[in-house]
Amino acid sequence: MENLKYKDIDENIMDILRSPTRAYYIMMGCLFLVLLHGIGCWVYLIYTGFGVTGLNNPVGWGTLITNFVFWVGIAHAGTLISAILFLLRARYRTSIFRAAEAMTVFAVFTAGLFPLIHVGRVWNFYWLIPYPNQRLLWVNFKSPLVWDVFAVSTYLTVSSTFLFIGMIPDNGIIRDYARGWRKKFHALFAFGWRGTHKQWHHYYSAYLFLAALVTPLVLSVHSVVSWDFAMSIVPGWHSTIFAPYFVAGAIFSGVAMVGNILVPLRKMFRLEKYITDWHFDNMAKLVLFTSTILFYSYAVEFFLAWYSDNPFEQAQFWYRAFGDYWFEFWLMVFGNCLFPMLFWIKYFRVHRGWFSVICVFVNIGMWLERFNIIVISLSKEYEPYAWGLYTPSYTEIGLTLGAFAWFGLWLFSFIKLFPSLPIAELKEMLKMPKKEAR
Amino acid sequence: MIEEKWIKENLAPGVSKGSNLPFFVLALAGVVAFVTGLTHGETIRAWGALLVNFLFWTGIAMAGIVFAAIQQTTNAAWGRPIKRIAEGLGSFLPVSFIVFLVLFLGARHLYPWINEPIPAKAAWLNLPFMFIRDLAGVVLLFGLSYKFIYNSVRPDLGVINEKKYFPLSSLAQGFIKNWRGSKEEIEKCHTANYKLAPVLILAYTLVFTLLAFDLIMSITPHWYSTLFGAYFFMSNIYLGLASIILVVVFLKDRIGLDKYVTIYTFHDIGKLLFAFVLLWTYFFYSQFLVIWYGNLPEETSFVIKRVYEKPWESVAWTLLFTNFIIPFLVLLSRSIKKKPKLLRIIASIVFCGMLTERYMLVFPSLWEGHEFPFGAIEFFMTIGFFSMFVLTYRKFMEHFPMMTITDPRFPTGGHHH
Repeated sequence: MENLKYKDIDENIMDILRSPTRAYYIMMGCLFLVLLHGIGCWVYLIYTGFGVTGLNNPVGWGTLITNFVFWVGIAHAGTLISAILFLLRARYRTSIFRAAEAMTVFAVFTAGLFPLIHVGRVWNFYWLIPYPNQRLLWVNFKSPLVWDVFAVSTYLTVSSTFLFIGMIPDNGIIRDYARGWRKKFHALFAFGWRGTHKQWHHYYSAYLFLAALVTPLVLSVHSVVSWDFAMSIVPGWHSTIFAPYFVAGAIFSGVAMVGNILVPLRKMFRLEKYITDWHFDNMAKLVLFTSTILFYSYAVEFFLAWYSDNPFEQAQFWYRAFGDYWFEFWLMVFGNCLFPMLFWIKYFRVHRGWFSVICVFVNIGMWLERFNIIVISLSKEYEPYAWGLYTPSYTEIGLTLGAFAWFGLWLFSFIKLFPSLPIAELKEMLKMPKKEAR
Repeated sequence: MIEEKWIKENLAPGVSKGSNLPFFVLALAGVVAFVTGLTHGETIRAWGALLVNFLFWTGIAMAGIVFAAIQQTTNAAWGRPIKRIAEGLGSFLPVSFIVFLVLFLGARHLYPWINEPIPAKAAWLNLPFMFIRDLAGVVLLFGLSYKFIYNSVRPDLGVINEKKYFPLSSLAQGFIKNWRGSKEEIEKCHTANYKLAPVLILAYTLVFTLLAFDLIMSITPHWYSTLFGAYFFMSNIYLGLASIILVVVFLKDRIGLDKYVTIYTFHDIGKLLFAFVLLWTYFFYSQFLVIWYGNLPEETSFVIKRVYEKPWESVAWTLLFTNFIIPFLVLLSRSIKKKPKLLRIIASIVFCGMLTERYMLVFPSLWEGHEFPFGAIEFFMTIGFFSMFVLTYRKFMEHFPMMTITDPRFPTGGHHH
C-alpha cells in the first residue's frame, strides 16, 4: 500500500464499480433462479400449510429458526469489525470493514425473513409489534421472542445508518468522477458532501458516536437471541453461559463469512494491494480467538451437565454426542473447535486455500450448532412419550438455499453500486504527500 | 528507545522511599487475626476470610500479568508505558502459592461435601483430587507467569547492565545469566513472550474457571451455573484494571513516569475500564436473568440468598451501584477519564466493590447467622494481605526497572491514533 497515490486508490476502488461482465450476470441469474425456487417453496408452504415442513410434535422449531439464528449471527462480524475494531484502533480493519458492514445489513435482511416464514400467515406479521389497538391486545412482553423483535430491528436500524453514514465521503468522491445516472445516484447518497473542514469535523464526531452506540448492540442482539432458548427450562437450552457464548459464536461465524466473501472479491477485482496477508492473518486470529471461546463453552456445558447431577441435563448431553444426531454433532465439533485450531500456525492463516476451507467449515459448523441446539433439545425433552425426530423437508431446504441466494443477490448488487472498500479511510493509511524541501 | 538520562534518573533502584516496617507489622497483624480466629472458635470466619483474600489478591496479581500478556498478543502500543507496573502485580504470586497450600488445611471447614460426600459427584468432589488438580493448575499458571515476567525483564536488565546505567541487585543479576548481547536477547525474549502470551491467557481462563468451580461453586455443592467460571475470570480483569489504575496513579509522581504515562494513557485505560464496567454488568446480568427467569430451585437458591435475604440483600444492592451505576455514569465523561485523580476515585470504588463482591460470593454460602460475619478478624486479615501485597510490590520495584525500556512496541514518538 505504501507506493500507492491517492489517485490510484480512487481508480482501483472505482474499478470495482465498472459495468459488470457477462460472468457477473450469469452468476446473478443463477442466484435469482435459486431465489425463485425458494419463493416457490414459500408460496407452496403458505398454500398447503406447515405440514410440508418436517416440523412435528415435539420438534416445533427446525431449519427455519436455525436459519434465523445463523443469519443473525453472521450479521455480527460486520459491526465488530467496523465499530469495535475502530474503537480499538486496529488498523487492519480499514480494508475489510466496508464489505463486512454491507454483509451485516444483508444478513439481517436474510435473518428477518425466517420469523416471517415461520409465522405461517405472513400477512399477520405486524402482530409481533406492540401497537395500540381497539381490543387492547398486547404482545407478551415477557416473551424473549418479543425482545427479539426489538433487538433485531434496532440492530438493523443502527447498522444500516452506520453503513450509510460511513459511505458519505466515498459517495462524494465517486459522484465527482461519475457521469450519467451514477452521478445522480452517488450524489443522493453523498448527502451534499463537499469535503469541507466543518463537514469532516461533524462526520468524524458522528462516526465515533455511532461506533460507540453500535458496540453494545453487538453484545445485546445475539444475547437476546440466545435467551429465546435459555429462558425456557428445556434441558440443553437453560444455561447461563448462553448469552456470551452465542455472541462469540456469532462473531466467529460472521468473521468466517467475511473471509469467504473477501477471498473471491480480492481475486476478482485484483485487490491484492489492499487486502494482504496482514488482513487475513488478523481475521484468522479473530476466528481462532472466538473458536477457542466456543470450545471452552462446549466443554463447560458438558462438564456441568455431568456435574449438575440432573438426569435430564445428563441425558440430553449424552444424547447430543451419541444419539440420533451424532453426525451433526461431531461435524459441528470438527468445524467449530478442532479445524480452526490450525490457525495457531501462521502458515494456515496466510494460506488463502486453507483459510477459505477452514472458514467454510466454520460456517457449516455454526449452522449445525444452531440446528443441534434447537432440534436435539426439542426431540428429547422430559417426557419419553413425547420424544420424536426431525428431518428437514424439501421445502425447508429450498427455503434455506433461497436465503443464501437472496443474501448473495443483495451483496453482489451492493458491490456494483457502492464502494466495497472505503476510499477515504484507505487514503488515511498513506503517508501524507509532502513537497521536497529545496 | 527511551533516553538514557531519563532511565538513570528515574529507574534506578531506591526510588521507592519510605519504611517497610509498618507493612510488616500490619501483615503480622493479619496473621495474628487469622490465628486468633482459629483458636477462638471463629473457624468459619477465619477460613472464609482467607479464601476471599486468596481469590481477591491472587486475582489482582494474575490480572496484572494477563493485562501485559493481552498487550503482547494484540501488539497494542498504548499501554506499554504501564506494562511493567502491571507485571509487577504478579510479584505477589509466591505469597499466593503459600496461601493456597494453607487454604487446603481448612478445606474441611469450607466445603460441606468433605464431611458429607455426595455420591453422584464424588468422582469430582473429593479432596485429594481437588487438591491435585487445583495444585497442578496453580503451578502451571504461576510457572507460565514467572516465565513471562522473566522474558519481559531480562532484556531490560541486560541492557542496563551492558550500558552500565546503574548497578543491578544480585537477584536481578540472576535474571541475566548467559547474556548474549542486547540485540539478540531483545529479539529472542520478545519473540518468546509473543508466543507465550496467548498460552498464558488461555491457561489463565482455564485455571481461573477451575478455581471458580472448585473453590467457590462447590461451597454450595448442589448449585451450578455454566457462566460462573467465565464470570469469575472476566470480573477479575475488571478488578485488575481498577488496581492497575490505582498503582499507576500512585507511582506516577513518585517515580517520575510523567514523561511517558500521559493523559492519553489514562484516557485509554479509562476507556478500557469503562468497557469492563459494561462487560461485568453484562456477565452478571446474563447469569442473573437466566436463573431468575428459569426459576428452578436448585439454581435460584444461590441468588435468593444474596439478593432477597438479610443480611446480604443491602450489600448486593450496594454492589449494583459500586460496580455498575456509579462507574458507568462517571466514566461516560471524557475529561474525567483524562484526570488521574478523578480516575483514581472511580477505580477505588470499583476496587472496594470487587472486594465486597468476592466476599459476597463466598460468605453467604458459608454463614448461617443473622448478623454480618465481619469484624476484626476479616478486617485485619484483609489489611494484612494488603500489606503483604505492598511489600512484595516494593520488593519488585527494588530489583526491576518499572518501565519496559527495550520494548520494541514502546510508543516514544508521541501519541498515535
